[in-house]
Amino acid sequence: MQPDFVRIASVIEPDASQRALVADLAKLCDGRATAAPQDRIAYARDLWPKATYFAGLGKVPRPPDAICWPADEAQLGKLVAYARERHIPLIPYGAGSGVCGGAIALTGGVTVDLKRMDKLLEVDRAALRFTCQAGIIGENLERELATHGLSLGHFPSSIYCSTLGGWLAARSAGQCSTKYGKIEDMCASLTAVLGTGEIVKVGGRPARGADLAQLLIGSEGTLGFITQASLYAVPAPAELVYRAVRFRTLESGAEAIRRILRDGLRPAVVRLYDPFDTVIAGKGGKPHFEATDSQHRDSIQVIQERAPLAARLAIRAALGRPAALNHIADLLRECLLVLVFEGDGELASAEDEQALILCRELGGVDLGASPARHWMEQRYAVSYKQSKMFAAGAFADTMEVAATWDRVLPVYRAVRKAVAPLGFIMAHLSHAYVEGCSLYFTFSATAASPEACAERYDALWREALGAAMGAGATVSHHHGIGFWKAARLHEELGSAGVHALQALKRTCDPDGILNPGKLGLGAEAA
Amino acid sequence: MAQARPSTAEFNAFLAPDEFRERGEEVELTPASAGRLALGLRWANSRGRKAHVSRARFASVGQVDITSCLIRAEAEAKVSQVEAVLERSQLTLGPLSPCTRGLSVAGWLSGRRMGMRSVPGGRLESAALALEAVLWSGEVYRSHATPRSATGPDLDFALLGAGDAVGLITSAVLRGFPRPTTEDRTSIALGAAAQAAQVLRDLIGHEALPARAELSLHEGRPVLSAVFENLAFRAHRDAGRLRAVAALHGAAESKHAVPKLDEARLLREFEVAWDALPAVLELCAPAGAGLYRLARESVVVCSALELEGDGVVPLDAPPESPGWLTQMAASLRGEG
Repeated sequence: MQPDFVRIASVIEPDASQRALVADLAKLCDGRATAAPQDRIAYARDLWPKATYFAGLGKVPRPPDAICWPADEAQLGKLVAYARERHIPLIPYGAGSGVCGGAIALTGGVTVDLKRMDKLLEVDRAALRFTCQAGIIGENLERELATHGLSLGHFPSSIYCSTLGGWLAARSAGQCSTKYGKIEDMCASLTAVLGTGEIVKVGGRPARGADLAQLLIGSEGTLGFITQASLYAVPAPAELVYRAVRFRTLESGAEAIRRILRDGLRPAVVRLYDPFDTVIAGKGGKPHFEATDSQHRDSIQVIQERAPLAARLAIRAALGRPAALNHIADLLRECLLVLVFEGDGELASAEDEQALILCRELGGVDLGASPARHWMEQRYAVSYKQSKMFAAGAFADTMEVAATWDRVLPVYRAVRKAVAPLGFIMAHLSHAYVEGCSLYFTFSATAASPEACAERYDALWREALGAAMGAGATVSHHHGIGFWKAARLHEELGSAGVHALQALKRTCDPDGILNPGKLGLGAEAA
Repeated sequence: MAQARPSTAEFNAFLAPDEFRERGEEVELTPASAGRLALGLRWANSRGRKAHVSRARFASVGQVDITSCLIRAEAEAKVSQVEAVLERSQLTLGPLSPCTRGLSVAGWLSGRRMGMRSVPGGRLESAALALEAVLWSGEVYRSHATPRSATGPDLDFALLGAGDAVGLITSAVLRGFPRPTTEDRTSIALGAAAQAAQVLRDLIGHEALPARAELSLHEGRPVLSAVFENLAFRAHRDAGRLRAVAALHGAAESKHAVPKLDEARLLREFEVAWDALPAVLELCAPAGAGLYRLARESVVVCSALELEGDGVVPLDAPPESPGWLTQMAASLRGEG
């Protein structure tokens, strides 16, 4: 199911039914409701790149009929009861940073923005645990925790424009996930308003039975509104130790990561860039590399010299010759591994030392701290660079999958091969575990017309995700499903998994009013 | 006892005689595979028969995937059996309590323990990377073997710790760890047994929780013996943190050799919240207590005593089945 795109100019003042709806919502939400065209346009899309592309053409997905801002669970419960009586779809909305269309109102209805619920309610310093409302922006949460000497340890690149509720709803991963886990690993318990209107608190230990919190986490608003959660924090790290290592091949770099994890080391950050992504990563802010030997200095010079050429080639690729650019990228050989260790100084330094020994055993060359420190300084910048591509009439998107170690390189090769004729592609490995890691692909392409570009976008995703899954990857590591990957999700789950998911949906949202169409659930019911 | 096989072509084609037995209005299933179990359940469901299932034939342990540190084990294989196979590849399921080692894989995963073990960083994680199960609707459920994902709700958690509410686990892909290279055992003499809880809790913030610990009385004084398992530098560093934290609480390293507790006496296991741990340890100290699965979430206490109270959950009782899962199972069977 794809959204219908409409011209922005066609989104006009609310009609009588929308005005009546807003009047009712205002009574339920302290007057905080709207159907004004500018608001409906703003809430018509999230950061799904295809919608961003169409926005440049003056179109948005069909907007919601109204938007409202409830203040608490009680208001949400009444809102759900109201919507159930009238079969009105409700679309939970955090900060709209999702890239799979999870916050798009596919069948109209009311978008429910949870950002009024943004309070850090309780901090238990002794237990390293806190309770917070779901609508808080990630960066604000980190700042508040810092005043208590704590950190969640969760740093997604969207941290400035995503909420705690959004992280939980889509199983978010932060850049330090190798040490601290994904958001589902950090959550102790949560409170939600289900599609039945019931307010439930689930999770928590000790436990006498199943952990139902894990059934709400990742549900992308299809089962209930996550309104608050208790999470585990960590003491703010006393020290960060940076390390960058150059490998001749992606294979040797991947093996280094596997051995680092297998030996029990836990760097906070692990990122291995493929050859072209290494050029891009190295170029960003013109880092000052710490050359430690002549061989290393030569290699860095080569990387830096190639960067401008690569940038020019990327533009050419955007004009339509992706196969040639991918072929040139295949000629590059060097891969950059970025490691960041954090904690107390003794532990971080000792782990860094051990990791470097392992890397050297596999042919890695120490590049010192600067490239890794540079990455840290620029770590949120990359998400804001895509707009240049869209402005040039091209598109860019990212695909994050995950696989066990035996499948990681086959997945990498399969996806590159599948995408090469359609768009330019590069990748990095990150979010490493003892069992495997995430593969994060970035691709960009263009075509002769907007229609052709849209077709290219669909084809590229079809080929890329098909190749990844065919080689053994899961459909998503941390971006979630939305509507965009729903069909592939059902492939991965198989019929029994889909039936179990549907049964869970019927249990929590019997009328199918919550976020219809997401996870492939319930669009027909609304 | 009359034994009759259903006359349907489906059964004649797929189920062997020793896999299916009718007892009046009920049927007994002893299938040899998940697919055959699913077939038997569908047959029973279609005729409104109650099915009794034995997973006795699901007892094998597969080969170790050295690259990804994984192993597939069937439901009735013993955890100790899995551990023995992993040991040959220098891997382990982690520091497990004595009772856990004696459980079947399905018992470990579907019971209150949920297959949880503590992992580096002091948090809990399910040992199961992926599950195969037969839902009561007669469908075979298989989750994708991936380290993590963002593919909707984690449906494995409708099975983990859920008893048999939604279905029967038939096999699992389990995560292994590299076997630790160093074991550092450090004993601390305490002023009171409850102090052990405070010392251990403080270690969470230092990323220094031990793999396991024991609390016992030695010459009338409570002694905490903690075992750190890891790379040498890490094990010694964590043991040093224990000594430093203990010193802040006015306790010091015990100079005497403290005999190990007899694990065979510690037959009761409880999951205990950190807030409840001081009182639990005061109670358990005279007879001794084993502490396992130490994580920021909770601790498993092995004791010869029967414990109860807020924040104390006996792990050997059947899991409580929340209404959600009952409804979900009914919905799967088309009863919802």
